Amino acid sequence: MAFAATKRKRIQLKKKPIEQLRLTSLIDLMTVILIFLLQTYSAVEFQVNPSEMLHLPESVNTKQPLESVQMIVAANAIVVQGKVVAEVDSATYEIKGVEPTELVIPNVDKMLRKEAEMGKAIAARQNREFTGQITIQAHKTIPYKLLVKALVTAGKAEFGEIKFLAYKIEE
Amino acid sequence: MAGRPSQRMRSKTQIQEINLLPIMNVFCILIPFLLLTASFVQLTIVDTSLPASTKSNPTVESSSPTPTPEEKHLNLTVMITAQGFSVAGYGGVLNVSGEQAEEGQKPKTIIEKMPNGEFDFDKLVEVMVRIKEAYPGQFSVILLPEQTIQYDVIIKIMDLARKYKKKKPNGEEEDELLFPNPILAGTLL
Repeated sequence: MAFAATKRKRIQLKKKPIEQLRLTSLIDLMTVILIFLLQTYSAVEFQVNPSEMLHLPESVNTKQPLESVQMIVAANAIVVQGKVVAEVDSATYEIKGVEPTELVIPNVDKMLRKEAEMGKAIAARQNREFTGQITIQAHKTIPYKLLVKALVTAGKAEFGEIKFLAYKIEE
Repeated sequence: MAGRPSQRMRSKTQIQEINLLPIMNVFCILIPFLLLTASFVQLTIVDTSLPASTKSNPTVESSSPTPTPEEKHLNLTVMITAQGFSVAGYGGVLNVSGEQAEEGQKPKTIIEKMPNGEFDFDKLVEVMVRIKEAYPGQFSVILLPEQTIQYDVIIKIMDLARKYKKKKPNGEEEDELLFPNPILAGTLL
């Protein structure tokens, strides 16, 4: 018959060796997440804040947005480069403080001309031509009478290359 | 009697585990950064240009195919009104039915809305395809919406006017450009 283990031996048996944390499965998971995130990464940052007053239309187009001057034509305001430059009556879609027959919105025009001047100066420094690109985020249900005012104002301020931002959908 | 196996044979070769901690550190930095910059909603842009009266961009002009003489004069225009669409070219409104109007009857010039009140986009595409087949050198379409027309209707027409499925003689379908250069004109008053 074998002798009973000594007290020291019993303590040693109870103590299990410290197991190393197995990182392989965690690495697998992280690799999958990393690949997914790299796929969805976009270098051009476009801030779209969907709300009741700004819901973009959908398009099957596949063109990627480019860095350019941004104008938001929401149902209640017109925003240029993040600054609210005109307020819109969300019931009638008329611009507050501007005659309904007036096609150019003075505040928007002023702001866009400033942006155009800045754009021209940057282009001249980089030895290239000013492209006059503007990206417009517009609420999908606004009537054309409001949109046309934004377009005419942009055109007057030498932004002739209009790009409408939309949500991409599959065909 | 067989000899005792050597010490080397008995000792199990220990597999050296790769030190994964540095790569974990890299992942822990990259993942929060990518999560912050990730865009889960895919965005796209719809190009358009303003009529020639405003300053246009020369790079856009150069990217479009060289206009043929017929393209210069066709001036294909889609008028979007509360009643439906009207298609015009050469300064005159086209007969959208595709058939000769009977004697004493006026040609059908409006693609009327459907009974449910929605625009008949399929019919508009059909008319545009017919025009494209007659004028393959034409790539621009002028959109002339009424004041009350909603912006998403305009975007939808621009989408539809970009390309169409052309049936080849062998029955296969192929994507063909329709009128990929939409021009937004002034409004119908």
